[in-house]
Amino acid sequence: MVRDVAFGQYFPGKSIIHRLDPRAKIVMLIAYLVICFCTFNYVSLALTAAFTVFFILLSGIPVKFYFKSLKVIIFIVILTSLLNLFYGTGDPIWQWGILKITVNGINRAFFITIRIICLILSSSCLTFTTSPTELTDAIERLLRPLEKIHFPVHELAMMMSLALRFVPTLLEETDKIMQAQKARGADMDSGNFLKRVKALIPILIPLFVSAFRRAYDIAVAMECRCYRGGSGRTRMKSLHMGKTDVISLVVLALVVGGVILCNIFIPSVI
Amino acid sequence: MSEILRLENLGFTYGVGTPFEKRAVDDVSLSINKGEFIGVIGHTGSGKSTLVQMLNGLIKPTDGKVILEGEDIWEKPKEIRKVRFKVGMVFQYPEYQLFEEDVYKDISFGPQNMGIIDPLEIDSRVRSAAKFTGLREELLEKSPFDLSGGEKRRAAIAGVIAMDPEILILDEPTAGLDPMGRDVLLSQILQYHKRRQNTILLVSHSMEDIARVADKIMVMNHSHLVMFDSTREVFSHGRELEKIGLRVPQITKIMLELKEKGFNVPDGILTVDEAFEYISRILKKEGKLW
Repeated sequence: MVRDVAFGQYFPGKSIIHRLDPRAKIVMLIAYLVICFCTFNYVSLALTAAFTVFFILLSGIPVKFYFKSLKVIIFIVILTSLLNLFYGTGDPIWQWGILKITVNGINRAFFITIRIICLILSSSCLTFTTSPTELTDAIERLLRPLEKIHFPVHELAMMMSLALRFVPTLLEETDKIMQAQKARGADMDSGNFLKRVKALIPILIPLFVSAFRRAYDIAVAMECRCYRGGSGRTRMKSLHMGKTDVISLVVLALVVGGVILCNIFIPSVI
Repeated sequence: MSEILRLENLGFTYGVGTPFEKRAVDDVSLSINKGEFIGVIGHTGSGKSTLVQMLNGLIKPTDGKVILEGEDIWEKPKEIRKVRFKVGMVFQYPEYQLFEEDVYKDISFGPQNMGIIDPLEIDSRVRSAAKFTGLREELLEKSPFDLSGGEKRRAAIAGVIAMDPEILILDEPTAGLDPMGRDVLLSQILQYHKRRQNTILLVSHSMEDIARVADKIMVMNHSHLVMFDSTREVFSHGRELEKIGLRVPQITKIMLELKEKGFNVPDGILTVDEAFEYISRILKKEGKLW
């Protein structure tokens, strides 16, 4: 069923990670993702991986949901690591036609696998512990400097939060429409590719119609409550950076520093 | 009367193995005869929608069996689509499933899925389905998105009736219609039932509607089937129905209260005419009438 997607879902909770300022979380995630792809030896890779595991454990969300989010990308992981495996440089330790495996290739495949897994796990950690509203609020605040060059920051954030708000609604709607068309004998599980694409039409058209109807409804509802864009709006929950936010930013800074030092003093393996 | 559908210890649990696990239908066994008009009542979340969706194989039961015309519908999972043609299902707000360029094509979606290719046969099915639901001929050429709310509803119901199912399930077909529209649609369903002589299951929150059309009633409460009996019999248990958050039709309730005050009236009066009969009889006996 469409509802089984765990990636990007929010799980309410009260852990330290949940309580962190969403701005701090976003900044940390971006910094972490950059540093994750700047690891060139096993020590720094271990350091970044340990950081991810540490945050996952702190988030208090059952590890099985993290595994579930990995399921979605398992194909990409296998594909990229296979490609990397055969693209290494140096002396081949195994060769078959043009396919050759080198120590460098094995290292590369291993690194890319761990990096992608860390990437997904840490992003999941953010979306699992941060509600969509918090997330868009934080993005709006972080992008605020762009207002100086007349970039519509508030509008962008509003569009994002509306889009996120409608994800579950549209999923539910898709489910309902699918059931209704199946009840009329629509066959979605068999036939060749073309047939299956055609079978989507009876689902997509009603879905679009209802999405437009909902968009219209919500626009009317917003106007009824005198929504007039971002200028001068105050918020119910204003964001505050606290002690824990500073501490976690410092921890991340240490990890970044550690990785940079490792890269300087330990030779690269890839 | 011959049996058409039998449920054996039917049960369904949502989200098995997740924190959201919920028992939606528990241990439902019953038998439905050909040609019966059955009302399904129960408050929101009692499991009625899940139950009816199991009848045509849209939801696969986690326990028990659905036996249609003597065969377990899940015996050959690959042929489950055939079951859906025999057991037609009209969902709540079915107008949101319309998608074709014109109403005619939309109604013919079901028959075409059945594998009917003869255009004459399709034409006759579409036209008779439109007639049964009171959809005017000229609307067949229109885009379904240009119809009024009530017309869309009719078109969507016609789309299921065109498959000519042996059993027709309607999930709150009158929800959101105006009183006039409700009455008309309901009498059309009743007429269709009388002419076609098929089995109908009607899920509704309106006890008046159910009292008007149903021969028998299924009462669902907390995922259990608590009553399954003739309409009169079920509505004569007014107090029990109230306990599980349901009502009886207003006229039934008035007669129930008269009875509790000591008047000699029978249980389970369903129509105003009947009630009038009994009350005037009592008044005559006491010499207070005219």
